[in-house]
Amino acid sequence: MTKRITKEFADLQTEPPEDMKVDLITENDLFKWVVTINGPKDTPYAGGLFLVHVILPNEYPFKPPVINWKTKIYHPNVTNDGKGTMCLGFLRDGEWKPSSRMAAALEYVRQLMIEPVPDDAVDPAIAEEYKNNRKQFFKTAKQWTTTYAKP
Amino acid sequence: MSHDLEEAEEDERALELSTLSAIYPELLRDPSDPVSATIDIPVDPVRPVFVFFPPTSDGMGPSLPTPPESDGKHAGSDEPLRPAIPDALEMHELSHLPPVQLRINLPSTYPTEQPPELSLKSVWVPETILTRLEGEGNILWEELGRSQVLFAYIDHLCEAAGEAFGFSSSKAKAITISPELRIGLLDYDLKAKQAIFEKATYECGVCLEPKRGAICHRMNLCGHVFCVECLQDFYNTCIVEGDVGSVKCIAPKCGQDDNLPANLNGAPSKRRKRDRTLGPSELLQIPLTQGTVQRYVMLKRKNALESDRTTVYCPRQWCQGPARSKKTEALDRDEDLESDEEQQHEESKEPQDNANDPDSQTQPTERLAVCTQCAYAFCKVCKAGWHGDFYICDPKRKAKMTAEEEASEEYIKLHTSHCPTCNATSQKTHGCNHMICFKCSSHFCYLCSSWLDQNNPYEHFNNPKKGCFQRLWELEAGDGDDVGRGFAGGYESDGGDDGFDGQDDNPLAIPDDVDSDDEAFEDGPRGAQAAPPPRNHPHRQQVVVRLPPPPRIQAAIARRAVAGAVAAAAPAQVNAEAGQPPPEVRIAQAGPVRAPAPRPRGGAARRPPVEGLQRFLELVQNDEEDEWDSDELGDESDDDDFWQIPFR
Repeated sequence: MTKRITKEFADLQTEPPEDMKVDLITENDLFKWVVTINGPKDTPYAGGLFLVHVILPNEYPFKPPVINWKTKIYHPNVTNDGKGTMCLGFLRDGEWKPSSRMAAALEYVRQLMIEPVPDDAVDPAIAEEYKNNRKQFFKTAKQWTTTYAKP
Repeated sequence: MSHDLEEAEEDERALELSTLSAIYPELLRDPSDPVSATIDIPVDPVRPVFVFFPPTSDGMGPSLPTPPESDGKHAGSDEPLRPAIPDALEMHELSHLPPVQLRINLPSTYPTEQPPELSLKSVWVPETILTRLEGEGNILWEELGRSQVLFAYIDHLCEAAGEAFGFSSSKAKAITISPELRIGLLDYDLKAKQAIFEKATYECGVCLEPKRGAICHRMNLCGHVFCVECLQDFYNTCIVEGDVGSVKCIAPKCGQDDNLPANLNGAPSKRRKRDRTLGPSELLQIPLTQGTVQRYVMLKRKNALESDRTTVYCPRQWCQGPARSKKTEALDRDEDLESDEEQQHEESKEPQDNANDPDSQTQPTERLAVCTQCAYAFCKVCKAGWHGDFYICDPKRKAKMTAEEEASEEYIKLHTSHCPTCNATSQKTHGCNHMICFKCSSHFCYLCSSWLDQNNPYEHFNNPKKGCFQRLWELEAGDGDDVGRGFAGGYESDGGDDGFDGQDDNPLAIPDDVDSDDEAFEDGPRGAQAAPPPRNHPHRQQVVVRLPPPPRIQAAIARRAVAGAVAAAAPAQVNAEAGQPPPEVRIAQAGPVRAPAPRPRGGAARRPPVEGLQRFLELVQNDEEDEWDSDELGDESDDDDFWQIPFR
């Protein structure tokens, strides 16, 4: 399936998702991507530059890609454990379909930055804050962005 | 081309036909007649046509004897639109219909004086429409000023065919066609669609490459197309890994929305609207290998069994395969892959049909389960070998019992005996072992639950052949701590509950090893005093007969039974021998009860003692009890043959 990955990667080069840039981590490994995300406008992440590693499993596209945030981000759907994993929606094993595409997955990631899903959160404390104290959430998230996501 | 034909080229008529065949290569010219030809006008309407096939009146096949090809007459014209309400099942949406054949013959004075002779033939277009279309040829000829009209006419026909000759594409005005043509028309439509599909090119959503339809597969239910290679890759992986839940359409979000295209047959998919799970027949169609599909079916079935709470598992510890009731047996035996869809359908309904509610009294015939793996027949309720429909057994439903209920259950097991006729449990508070059932007034032995002759009840205790010989007064002070002197009762539970204790608890299962027997004797409060001679194992007989577990009737009934039986203990008529201390003690039963006894013929083979009783009761009813040999109840034999019901 390297052919498919090559095609997907090439398509993402010519038509990258909004605010994103896709590269290979190492020149000769098609299965490891690094995605640079500009924090979307009108979010506490605006102005930050976030690095996300995308690891395509050997079984790709039969198994979903694994997404890790290399840049710390204050977000209810991203683990704050140094790994920055994210596992929800169609990135889950059971919901990923072989015909799902990386472009859609990355668009989904961006959408999550704009609108977190607190009901499916990996960090319940942040989710709680996002739901009940949006102001505080914004403040902390913005602070993290300036601290960790320096361009 | 024949010489005649060449010569005839000079003829204006022949010239028109050869021009026409350049435009329509499918035009067939008659070699023997240069001025006639035939052409098939394809009928591929722009919008699909709804076709209704009325069910045959007699239900015994075609009502018209003529085959459809014989002439074009009976297609639809003989059957005017019936007022019958179209059955949704027989309503089909067709995009491709068999062509209409046009036969052309040009008379010698054509085109100036005579119109072309046109005749149309179709298996499905009603005669009235064909006649009208034929007539339109003449009109056209006149309109064109009596000149060459064939091209214009064929063009006109093609246009009319594109509109399905005026048949509406709305469901309400569906065209009614004789049911004989049903298979033919549906098949034609399907093949035409398949041909178009195979010629087209699709981008496979998995490998993202354009592929010819011929190496693609279109999902039967949702119509999504993927290349065969990717589907094989994915489904094979799923099936190998056991992830059969993923064997469904792999298009993103497929099955999540309600507006779905009709399936390939044009019929709206009737079931599994949301569940895009693939059936085995479609997997074979893709194709996957037979072996893989078999594994898929096996895994699916296994999943269904495991998720169905009515599934019973084989009580044999070395097997533990899923076993089901009689009803499902047929389904499980049916290995026909093609029928699996229906099978799954039935399976999904089954839990209701077969609701094996452990709280309700299961009907006798529903208790039989046969293991699908080792073919062991056993009772779903008591997990013992199948004991026949007429045996009331003790349900195992410990999971549902509270600790209190369980303790009560244990107590009933330990300290009660049951009536051989009605199975009511009773507890003896004092007195001898000749009991009279409080419910049905049967006379029976408290030790072994044997039926006793009302007129000579004590023979049972005085016959040296019987296990209860000289034991009339055993348990004189009552059975149980709270009623007597602390006798441990007749039935010691193994206590250990491993969930598969059907056989451990099976009182009918007697182990061969003497060790456990000895142990049991040591354990028993009074057991050690008189170990039985190992040769005869006389205690076995009473184990066998006494121990069919007391019925798990509602605890309340059981308690009432206990209370009742206390009062019913018959006054003992002591005879000389009866007073002597019993030679051996029934605590011995604990041994056999405890030991696991996975002997293949297990419980089933040991059932007869009870049947012996039943047989005796039958004989009594017919006044033939003299024919009965009390040995039928069994005692000193270890031989399995012994347990067979003797024929007399």
